[in-house]
Amino acid sequence: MRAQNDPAMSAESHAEILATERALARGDMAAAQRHLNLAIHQGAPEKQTNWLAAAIETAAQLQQRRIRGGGWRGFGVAVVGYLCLSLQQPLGWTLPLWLFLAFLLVPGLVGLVVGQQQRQAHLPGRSFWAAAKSSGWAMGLYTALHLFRLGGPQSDSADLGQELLAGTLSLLLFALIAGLAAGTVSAMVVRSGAKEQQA
Amino acid sequence: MSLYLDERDDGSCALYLDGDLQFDSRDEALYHESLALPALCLARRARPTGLRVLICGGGDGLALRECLRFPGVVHADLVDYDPEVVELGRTRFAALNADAFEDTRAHVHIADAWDFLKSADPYDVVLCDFTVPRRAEDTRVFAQEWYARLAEVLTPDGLLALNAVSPQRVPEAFWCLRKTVRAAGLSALPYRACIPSFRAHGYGAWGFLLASHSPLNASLLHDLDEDCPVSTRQTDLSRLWRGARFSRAERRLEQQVPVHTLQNGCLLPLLLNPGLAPSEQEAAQHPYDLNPLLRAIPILHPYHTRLMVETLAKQVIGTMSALDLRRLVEAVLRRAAALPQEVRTELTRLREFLSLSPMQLQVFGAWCGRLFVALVLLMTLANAIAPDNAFAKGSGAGAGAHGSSASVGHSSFGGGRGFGTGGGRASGGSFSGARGFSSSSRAGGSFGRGGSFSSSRSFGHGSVFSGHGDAPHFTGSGFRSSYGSGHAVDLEGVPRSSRSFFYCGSGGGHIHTYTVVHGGTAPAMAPQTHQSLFVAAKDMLVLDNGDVIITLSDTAYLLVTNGTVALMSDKNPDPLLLLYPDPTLFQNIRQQLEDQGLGVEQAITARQDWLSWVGWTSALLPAVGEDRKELTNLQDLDRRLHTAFDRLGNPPASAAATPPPAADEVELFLGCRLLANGDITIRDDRGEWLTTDGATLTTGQTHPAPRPSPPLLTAALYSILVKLDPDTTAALASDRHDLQLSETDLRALQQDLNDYQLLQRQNDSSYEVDYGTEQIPASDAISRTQKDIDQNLQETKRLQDDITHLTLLQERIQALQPRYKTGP
Amino acid sequence: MGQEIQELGPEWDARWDALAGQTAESGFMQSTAWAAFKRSEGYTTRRYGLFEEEALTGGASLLSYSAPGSEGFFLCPEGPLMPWHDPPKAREGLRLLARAVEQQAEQSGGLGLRIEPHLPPPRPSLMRNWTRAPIDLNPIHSLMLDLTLSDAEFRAQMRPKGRYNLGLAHRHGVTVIRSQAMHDLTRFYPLFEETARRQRFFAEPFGFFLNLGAALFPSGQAELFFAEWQGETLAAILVILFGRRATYLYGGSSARQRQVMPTYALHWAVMQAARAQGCREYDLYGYDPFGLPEHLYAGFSQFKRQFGGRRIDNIGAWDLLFYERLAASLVERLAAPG
Repeated sequence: MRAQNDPAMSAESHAEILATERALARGDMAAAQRHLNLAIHQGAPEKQTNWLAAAIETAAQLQQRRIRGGGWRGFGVAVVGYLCLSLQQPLGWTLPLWLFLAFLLVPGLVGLVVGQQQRQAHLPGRSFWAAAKSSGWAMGLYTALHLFRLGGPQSDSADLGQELLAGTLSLLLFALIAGLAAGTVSAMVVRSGAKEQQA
Repeated sequence: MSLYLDERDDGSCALYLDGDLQFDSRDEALYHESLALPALCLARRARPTGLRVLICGGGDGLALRECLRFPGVVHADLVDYDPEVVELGRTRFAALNADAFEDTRAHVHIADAWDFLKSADPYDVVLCDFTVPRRAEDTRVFAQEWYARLAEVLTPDGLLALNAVSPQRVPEAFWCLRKTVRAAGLSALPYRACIPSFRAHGYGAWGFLLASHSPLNASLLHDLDEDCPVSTRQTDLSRLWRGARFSRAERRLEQQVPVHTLQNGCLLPLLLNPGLAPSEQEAAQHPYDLNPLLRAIPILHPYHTRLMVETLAKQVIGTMSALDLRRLVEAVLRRAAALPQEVRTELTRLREFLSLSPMQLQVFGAWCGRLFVALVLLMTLANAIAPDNAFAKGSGAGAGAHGSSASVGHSSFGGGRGFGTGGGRASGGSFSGARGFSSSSRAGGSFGRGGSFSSSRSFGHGSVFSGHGDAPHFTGSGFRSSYGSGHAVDLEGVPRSSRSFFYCGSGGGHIHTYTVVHGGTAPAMAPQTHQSLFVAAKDMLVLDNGDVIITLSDTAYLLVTNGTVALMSDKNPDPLLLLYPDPTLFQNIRQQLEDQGLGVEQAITARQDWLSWVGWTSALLPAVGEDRKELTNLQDLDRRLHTAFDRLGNPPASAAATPPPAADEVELFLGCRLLANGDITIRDDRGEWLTTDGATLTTGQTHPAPRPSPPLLTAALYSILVKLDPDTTAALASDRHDLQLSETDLRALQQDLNDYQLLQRQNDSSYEVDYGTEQIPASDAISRTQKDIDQNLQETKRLQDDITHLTLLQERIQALQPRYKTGP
Repeated sequence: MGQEIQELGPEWDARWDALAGQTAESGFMQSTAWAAFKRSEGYTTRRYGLFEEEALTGGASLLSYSAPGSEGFFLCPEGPLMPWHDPPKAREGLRLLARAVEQQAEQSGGLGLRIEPHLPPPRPSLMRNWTRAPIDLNPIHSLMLDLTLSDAEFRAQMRPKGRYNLGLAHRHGVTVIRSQAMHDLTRFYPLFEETARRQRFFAEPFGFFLNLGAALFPSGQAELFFAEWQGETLAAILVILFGRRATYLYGGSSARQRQVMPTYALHWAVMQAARAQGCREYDLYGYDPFGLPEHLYAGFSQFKRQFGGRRIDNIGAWDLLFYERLAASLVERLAAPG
């Protein structure tokens, strides 16, 4: 490694440079920046720290883009998935199959896509939220559209409030479950990626 | 102007003017902020201080409140012509309008807005807060001329805000208003807001218009919330611009509607006829076909329905033969200069023709089609114009409430005045009450070919089930509350009294092995009681076990099951007789069951789908629980309809439809006839005609020798005769009443004729006599009276024929009753 | 001879109402308050008085409704008030009225005059040049109950089943509450609407009743009656009380608890109240005297018949067409482009 070949470097700053590089490889930009700061403080050569600072910045940008892009890609997958599901009503799929498709398969796919995309980012937390949001929104949209179309078969004005409430509650619950499923899968993918790399 | 203030226990209140909601204190801020603030904010951009405001209408002071709390307003004029509302504004609404009338900047004028504007100074902001027009004169303050006047008093940068109408409920009227404002030389920006209380009254999303001399577009509304110096209570100004987004299709309407001017007054018709595109070209293409013409007649009052207007038009045509056509044609010819040449020529020829022969309306139609069509239209409009005319108490055809049960009660529309029992009938000499049926349908009994069954088929078609889209809507009190509550219900969920039937054999596909008439082996099974649970048609019931019943009288009925038709009596669990399984009957029942089943299945699917999404909340929300209960009910009903369908079975393939009865026979029910000699003949399952005179029974070729008629059969036939009797009696009573009046009238007419003839003899022929409230030459009076007498004689003849026919029937029925009244 | 006609201003309200209220051939639809109600419904009203030697002897309260582009009729429901018993005088009076209305029609438009006095058919000879209207404003058959009878006499002329049901209602303790409060319309309307749906007739919108209440409650000319049982309102009717006659105009009942016969108690209470106000008869309104199964009032008539009473036949509505106006409108319509 480059750091070892530099005779002018102190042992402390060398350790910090190494830590910086490790953090960078892990994808932990905050830790990398912290270690780099310490290295600079302990007098690491400017050439090297400049290079590392640039690397951190580039990596951070890439990471951001991946996280964001992963979210959109996941949303796209979810929309396509739920569009397919929209071909018929839940009962048309039969309830167990629909439950599997709507709450496991589609969110699972979303989780996989988002996780794959963000594998390099090494942030299970971020990718959990990205996948959860994509899948949750899509599920919410899907539910809302269908409920709107069905519209409560007998919307008595007296019951309208309750029917609306029932719809809203369903929408929230379904979005929550789908989000959780997608997030969990995504986080697992990212974590497994991180483990692989460490190994 | 009627004013009603609905004060509620919670301290809130709602103001109604002429029955229309003006505001509800619970959400009035939404309305008044949406009306006033956009205009004020935009005006303030051009002129931050010294704003002069004019409010037209709005005597409640609520719009005034919005203006006065707006910084920069130095002067506000309020013009309202209703002192009562203004007084309420000063007193009862003082708390609501924050004592707006006490403010020194506010100046209230009780005046007509037109008059006030005659001498008015310029204003920076004008708010028009008028009530939605209900009659023609209300539309004066929505006319192009009015907006042109407003444009004159508006400063160059001034803003005009209008309370419009609902773009959702009455889009044509809404876009007509925008077009009108633009025609007055202003730029107009439409927007809408959702006012919950308006919505609850069925007024739909509410529309407003912003107008100005300078161009306006929706982007001006984008940063309204940042511009607005005052806080709002209910309106989210940052979202107001969304209400200004209208689809292209909506905006396109503006090209199709006219501008509302004082002259053409087109706003009111547009308000009352949303979605109606009168196709006058169509009417012009087929001048003798009145149907497109009738469809083109606009609805003139919010209380009317299309069905009412069309029925009315038919009634009008029926009464027009009483018109004095010669006089009308002469009056038209006096004004004929304005008419096209060919119409004039035709009319002149028509006059010549009229002077030779008495006039029939049909002749008129053939001679001068356009005039005839115009006359029908004119008279129908004249009759439809006042709300009460189509609206005499109880005259409703049921269409208003449901829109689905049009065929029910249709025949008796029209305030109890019979129409449709013969063409000439409704002319001058009709005195009868509503007589919705002719003698032929009366004689058909309750379940014949032309009887109720065929009409109920059409009921099923026009009803909720065939409705639009995939989710049929039951009425609110429909199945949810009624079905499964132990009552029999009909299609619309209206509970009917339940009736129970007691008979042998209810196992699947059971076969009658014993009949009272033919004997056989009595079934081993004990008889059971079955409740009716679904009224599929007027006289068709579905029992809880799925058997189909057709009721014939209080005690007699037909049991249709497993390809057989059995004549049953309440008094005996065994069938009296197996009847000929007429395929028509089975086909009708099957069709009926199918129609109903289809509707129920659609309802089930709609509910199941809905519940698959929200069903899990049923424990939390009672309404969802109710949905679930209703689904169970519907599924139960569906199962029974299926059972009914299965159990109905098929008649033998060889069975053929029964030929129609002869002219002097009366069909009591399908396959049972009352013969001219008083015998009743029934077609049994072998296709043989059994004939009974009450005492003896002859069975075709098989048993040529007469044998005693079973008392149960006789009793059943008796009950059917008895049921037929009051209907005939009622019709007869009504006819006799009419005849008596007609005869009295005839005597009076003949007396008049004698008097006129005497006067003519005593004087010369141009001597003027009283003819009603007119004075006309005696010769004219004589010819007109003669025409009346002719009409009266025609009517009398018709009535006499009818009575003869009915009397015969009644006599036959009554003479028969003792013969058949031998039952146990 | 010697009759004159002139328009009546509001200063005549009391005298007009007194005359219309006591005339058997007339009714509440000729009253001042009814005209006010109709005005709030968008009608224009006009009232003519017929004078003989300076004394008001008859006249007509007319309604007309205008809409752009079409002319209507001048309507005179339950009128005009004429000396019908004296045909020559009535002919003269009706002629004066027709002439006055036609003159008015020349100014404000109108194709004819439609009258509907309570006269037994057939039409009198003095209406020979009038034609039968295509629709009636009021049912031509109605059932009239005699309020001059004592309670015992009245019960005696009721049908046995009606008598029994009335007793049943009283035994069950159905209570009847009277009201002339606008807010009680909100209690009345749901029952009315429910009944309209059940019986399949057109229900007037709520605003109609608000207008009616606003115009007729203050003068005491309309009153709501509610039948209550065990804290539940089971039935309600709206009754018009004007002059010599009370009229059952609108009603509604719940489908529940019919066995306590709330409607019987209701009409009984109305009769007591009407008698106390000086009414001599109670008009049960639309009625089918023949028992025709398809009649519009078939269902109601069975119930009404239980109260006994006397059947009233009317000549219905009759039109006098203004041929000149008719021709002018026709020509206008034909000459218009399109």
